Amino acid sequence: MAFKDLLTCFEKDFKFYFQSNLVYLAMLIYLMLSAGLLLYASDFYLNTTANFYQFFKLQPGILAMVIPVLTMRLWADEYKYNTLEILFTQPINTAAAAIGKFLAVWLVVGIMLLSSVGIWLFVGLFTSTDVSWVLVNYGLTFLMAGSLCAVSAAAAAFCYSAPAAFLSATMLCVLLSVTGFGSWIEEILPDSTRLIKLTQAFDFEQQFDELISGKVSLSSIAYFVIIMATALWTGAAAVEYKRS
Amino acid sequence: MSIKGVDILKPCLGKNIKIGYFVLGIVVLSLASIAGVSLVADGLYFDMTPEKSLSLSEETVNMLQKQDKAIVIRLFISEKLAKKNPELNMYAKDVSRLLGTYHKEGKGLIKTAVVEVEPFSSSQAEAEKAGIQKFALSDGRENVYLGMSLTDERGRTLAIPRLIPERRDELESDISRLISILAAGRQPRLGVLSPYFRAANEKDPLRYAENMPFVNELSAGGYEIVSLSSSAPAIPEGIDAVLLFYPLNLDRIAVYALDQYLMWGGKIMIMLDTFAEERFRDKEKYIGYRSGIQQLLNNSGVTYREDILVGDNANSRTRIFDEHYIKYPFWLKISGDNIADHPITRGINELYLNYSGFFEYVSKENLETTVLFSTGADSGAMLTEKTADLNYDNLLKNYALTNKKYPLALLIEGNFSSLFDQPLVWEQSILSSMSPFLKSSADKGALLVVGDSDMAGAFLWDAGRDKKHGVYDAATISDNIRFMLKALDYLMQSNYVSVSRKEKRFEHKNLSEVFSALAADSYGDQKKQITSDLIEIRQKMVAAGERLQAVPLPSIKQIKEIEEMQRKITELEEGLRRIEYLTEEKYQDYLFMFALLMVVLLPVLSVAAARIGYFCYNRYIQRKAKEFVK
Repeated sequence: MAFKDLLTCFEKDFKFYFQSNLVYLAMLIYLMLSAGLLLYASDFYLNTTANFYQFFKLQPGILAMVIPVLTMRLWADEYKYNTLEILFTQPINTAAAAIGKFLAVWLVVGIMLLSSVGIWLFVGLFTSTDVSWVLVNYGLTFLMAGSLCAVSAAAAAFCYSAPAAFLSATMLCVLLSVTGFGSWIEEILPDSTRLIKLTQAFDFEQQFDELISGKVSLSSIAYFVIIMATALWTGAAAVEYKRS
Repeated sequence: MSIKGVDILKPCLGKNIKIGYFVLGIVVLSLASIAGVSLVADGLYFDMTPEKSLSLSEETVNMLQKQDKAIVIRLFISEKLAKKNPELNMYAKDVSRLLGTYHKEGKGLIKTAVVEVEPFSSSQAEAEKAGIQKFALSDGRENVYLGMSLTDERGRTLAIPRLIPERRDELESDISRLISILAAGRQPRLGVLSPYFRAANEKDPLRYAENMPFVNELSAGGYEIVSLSSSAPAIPEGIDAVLLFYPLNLDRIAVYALDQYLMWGGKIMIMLDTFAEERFRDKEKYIGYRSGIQQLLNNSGVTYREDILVGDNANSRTRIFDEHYIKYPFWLKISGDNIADHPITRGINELYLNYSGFFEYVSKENLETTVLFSTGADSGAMLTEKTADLNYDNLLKNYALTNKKYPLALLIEGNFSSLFDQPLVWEQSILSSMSPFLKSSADKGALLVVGDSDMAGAFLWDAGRDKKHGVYDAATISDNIRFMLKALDYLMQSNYVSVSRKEKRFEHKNLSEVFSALAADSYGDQKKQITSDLIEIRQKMVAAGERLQAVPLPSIKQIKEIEEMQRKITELEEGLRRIEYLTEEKYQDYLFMFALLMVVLLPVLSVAAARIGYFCYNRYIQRKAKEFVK
C-alpha cells in the first residue's frame, strides 16, 4: 500500500464533504449542541473550570451523534453507485481506501473541533482559562474523536445504505461512548475490586474523563489507539469480505 | 507500508470464514490488548494539572517509601453528592485520583477504598464512627458526607472530617501528615505556655484554646498538647518542646523553669509580640515586673526590640488606611529571598506578620544563631509607642525608611548558659521532684524566637475562619501555620511531614459571578447613593427621635418632620428593592445574551467562516487552473 494511494483516497473523500455541504450542516449541529448542552445541561455557569472540563466532558456524547452523519455515506455511496470496483481498478488496496476514508472523516471532525475554539475564546473573555491545558484537551478530544470515527467508519463498511450505516454507527458510538461499564459493574458488584478495575480499563467514558482531568496516562491513550486500529482493521476486512 | 492483518486474513476470508467470527476475533484481541496495556502501563501518566495536583511531592514519596505500616484510607462519599452538588462531586473524584497515587507509591502498604454512604445504613454508621462530619447541602434539606479516614493496623483512626474544595491546595499536605502521624510511634508532647490560656481559665486553660485555632491545628498536626502552668518551677518530664506564646507578665519562676529546661537540652519556641508588654507597661495597665523573657534572650546573645516596629514597603500587604489604599508597611508579607534556606523554612513561600518587632543578636560561644526570615532591603521602622494614635498623616511623619534587613525569626542552637546563678527554689520537697539546677547546658538545646505572635492568629492564615467548622475547613492564605508545624517538627525531631502548599496558578471566576458583578455594577452608583441617603436619613431620624423624647409635648412641626422622614425612608427602601429587582433582571439579560451569542451567533459565524474559507480556496484553485490552461 503506497502512501500516495492513501492520499488519493483521502483527498477524494475530504473534498466530497466540502462539496456536498454536509460538513457545514454537521458543523452547525455540532456547535449548537456543544454550546447549548454546555450552558443548559452542565453546571457551567456555577463551575467554570480553568481546563474547560465541562465542554470536553460533553464531547463523546455529542460526537457520537454527529460523526455517524459524516460517515454514513462513506461506503454506502460506493456500494450504491458501484464505484467501489472502479476505485479498486486503480492500484489501490482495501487498507489504503479504508485508512484514506477514515483520515478524511477524522480531519473533518478535527476542523469541526477547531471551529469550537470560538466558544472557548468567547468564554475566555469573561474568565481566565488554562491555555496549555485546554490545548492539550483539544488534542486528546481529537484522539478520542478518531476512535469514534474509526468505529463509525467500520460500521458504515458493513452497510449498503446510508440510513442503515447512520443508525448502526450511532448505536455503536453511543453504546461505546456514553455507557460506563466500570460504574455498572461497581454498582452491581461493589466488592470485586479487580473486576471493577478491569472493566474500568474498557470504559470509554472513564478513560476520556481521566485524560481531560489532567491524568494523561499511557493506558488511556493506548485504549483509544487500540480502538482506532481495531475498528480500521474490521472496516477494511468488511470491505474486503464484501468484495470477495 | 501495509496493513498486514488484512493481507494475512485474505486467504481466510477467501475460504468463506464468516466475517462475524473474524470481527469477534479482532474484538477479543483488542480487548486483550487493552487489558494488557492497562496492566503493564498502570501508573504511567503525565500530570497535566497546573498545580500538579495528581502528583505527590518529594517529601510525601520519601515518607511513603520509608514508612512500613499498613494503612487503610477510606474516602466517604454520600451517594446524593453526584446529583445534588456537582462541584463537590468533582472534587471527590480528584481526591479519589490522588488517593490512587498514594496507593501506587505506598509499596502496597497504603490501601484505599471508596465508601458510598447511604442514609440509615451501616456505611453511615461507619462514617460517623470514623469521625466524618455530616453537613447540609445548599438547599438545607439533606445531610451528606464527604470525608476521609485513615486507619493503621492497630485500629488507630485519624480523620479529615470534611473535605472542602477551597482546601484543595492543602490536600496532599493533610493526607501525608496524617499518614506520617500513624506511621510514627509515639505522639510528641508539646507544652503550651501562654497568659492567654491562663487568664481565660486557670483550671482548664486549654478549653480556651477553642478560640485559638492554631492550638487545634497543632493538635491535628500530631502533637499531644499539654497546658503548662506559669507558676510551676519546672517543665514537667516528657515534654518534647515548649511553645511560649505571647509572653506577658510571666512569673519569674516560669522564666526559671524555661531556663533550666533549656539547660537540660530542652527545645523552646517563643512567639513574642511588640504589644505584649511594651504597651501595657507604658499605660501601667498591668502591674508588676516585666516577664524577664528579654533577659533570657539577652543571655543567649539576642535582644528583642519590641520598642520598634519594623515595616517593609516592598514586602507588605495592601489595605485601606484612613481612606488611602496603600501598601501598609507593618502588614508584612515575607517571601522569596527573605526566607532562609533551612529545613524549617524549606517549602515555606509566604509568611504574614502584623506589627512585628525585630531581633538584634551577637555571637555567643557554643551557640549557633540562624536567621530564619527577615524583612527585605526596603525596610523602615517606627517607634511602637507611636501606634497609640496612628493615622495616615502620623504614619508618614513617624515611619522612616532605614533600608536595613531586620531579622524577624531566629533559631539559636547549642549549649546555653543559665541566666540564674543559683536555684530559685530551695524547698526540699519541690527540689526533690525536679532535675538538679544546672549553670550550663548538659545537652544541646534549641531556642526559636519569632518577632510577632500574630503569626498564629487565625486572621493571618485562615481565609475561611468565619466558618469555624474545624481544622480541615481552614482554607489557608499564608504559610504561617505550616511554619509553626515545621519549626516544632524540627525542634522535636519528629518524623512528620509538612508538604509545601501548592500554589494556585489560576484564579478563575465562575461565569455566574462575573455576570452578577457586571449586573451589580450597572446599578452600583444608584445603589450607593440610595444607601448613603438612607443611612443619613436614618441618623437624622434617630436624632429627631431623641429630640422628641426630650420634650414633654412634641410640636406638630416635629411630628410632621418625623413623618416626612419616615415617608422618605420608605421611598428609599422601595428604591433599593427596585434596584435589586433591576439587577436580577440585568443578570438574566446578560445570561440570555451570552447564551444567544454562544448557541446561535457563534456557530453560525463559525460555519460561515468555514464556508467562506472553502469558497476562497476554490477560487484560488480555479485561478491557478486557468493560469495553467493559459
